[in-house]
Amino acid sequence: MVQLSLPQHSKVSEGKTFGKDGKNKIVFNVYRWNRESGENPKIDKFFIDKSKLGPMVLDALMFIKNKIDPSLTFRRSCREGICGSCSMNVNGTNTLACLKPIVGKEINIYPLPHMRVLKDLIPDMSDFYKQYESIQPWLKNKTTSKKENLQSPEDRKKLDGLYECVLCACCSTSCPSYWWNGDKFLGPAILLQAYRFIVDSRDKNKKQRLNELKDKFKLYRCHTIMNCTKTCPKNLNPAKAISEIKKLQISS
Amino acid sequence: MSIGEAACVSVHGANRLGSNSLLDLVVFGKSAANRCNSIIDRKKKNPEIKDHTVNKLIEDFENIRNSNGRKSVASIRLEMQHTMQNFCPVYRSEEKMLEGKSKLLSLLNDFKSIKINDQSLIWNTEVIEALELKNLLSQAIVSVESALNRKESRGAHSRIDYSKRDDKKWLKHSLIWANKDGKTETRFRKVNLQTNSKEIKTIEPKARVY
Repeated sequence: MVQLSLPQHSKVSEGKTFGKDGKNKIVFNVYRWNRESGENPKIDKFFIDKSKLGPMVLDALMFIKNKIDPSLTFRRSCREGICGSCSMNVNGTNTLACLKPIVGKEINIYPLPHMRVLKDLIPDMSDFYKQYESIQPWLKNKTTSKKENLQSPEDRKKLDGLYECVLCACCSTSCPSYWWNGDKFLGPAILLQAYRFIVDSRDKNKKQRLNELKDKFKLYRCHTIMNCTKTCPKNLNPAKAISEIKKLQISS
Repeated sequence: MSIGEAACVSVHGANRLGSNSLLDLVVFGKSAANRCNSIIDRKKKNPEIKDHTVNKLIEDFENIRNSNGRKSVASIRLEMQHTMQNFCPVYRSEEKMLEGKSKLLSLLNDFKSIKINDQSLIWNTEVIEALELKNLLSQAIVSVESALNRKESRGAHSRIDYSKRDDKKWLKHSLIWANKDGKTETRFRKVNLQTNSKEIKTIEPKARVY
């Protein structure tokens, strides 16, 4: 039988342990990797008294950085689910650490899956942002007017469930199709954004936008696996947005 | 150029504390871009950066990155936050603020022997936080200094020892410089009360009451 294993330099080994187990203690297993060390990735264990922590996983990470190991590296900014910086994999699910409550005795924290890691919990987002740029995420409207570009309440409603996206990339990096074809498939986050501009009544470029997406890879690598919708920390539905684009492709 | 909260006034004028970040970005961002477009000569070469400027920056960065002192970034930052909260809150007095200022100066001194654990040059957030803390400490010092200086109450600056607004003496901006030891120099600037257009008349300043 074929045996699959990670390449030598990708194997994750046990790292340092901080603190001891005990009553009220929670253990945080955190992925650590720094290219400069020349070593393989490691999992550090942090035993922390629950009473010392705030409610969310991000509180625990900040506690570790402030009080135990200042070299722990992760992105964070608003700590209230509006900036999309602290996306990571917590107990096997992609989420925003600031919106994820600390539940249970053991919490495993990894970077977003299938992305190049820059350091510890920080993935390289450059390709993701390039794909975002490729859909031209701004209103395109040839007529220039000195007045405001108005929109009816009904048309504005069409953007609900789309405009809330904070581009944290939890959905894209949970998608098996994006794992295998991340270079050509745009992924759920970017397709949801594409749809947001397709349905905006103030945008006059709908046809061209739909044409741009008519591609085996860009759009049609979505096989409705639905991991995106399941994982979205903002409770949005990228899978639905993608199927709406497919519907428009057929009808227009 | 400076826009947003750093620019002192915003789209809402002096009536609003802080600013509406997105609105300011859209309005003054565009305005700044237009201004750049008119003052920058596209054909001209960028001025050369002087060696001593670059060397100074790298030296500062390396000093912090390799600093092996006693206190951590997080501990000094927390003490600074508590000091500002307890000694320079919305309702403030000279006595408390003087105490707060001396605490901040001693924190600035602690910062000189800060302890950095991570010497990595890739995504070193510990050093970034240290650099931020350095700026925050100077900000805290100039905030306390300007609040101490301003012997009146105005907006969110509420002096227990000077509870009245005083337009005669204090209708002016405070401009404060702090050097690396926290020594400050204060100057003032006139408030521009005129609107830029004839369509809207100047509104006379008066006390804000609820």
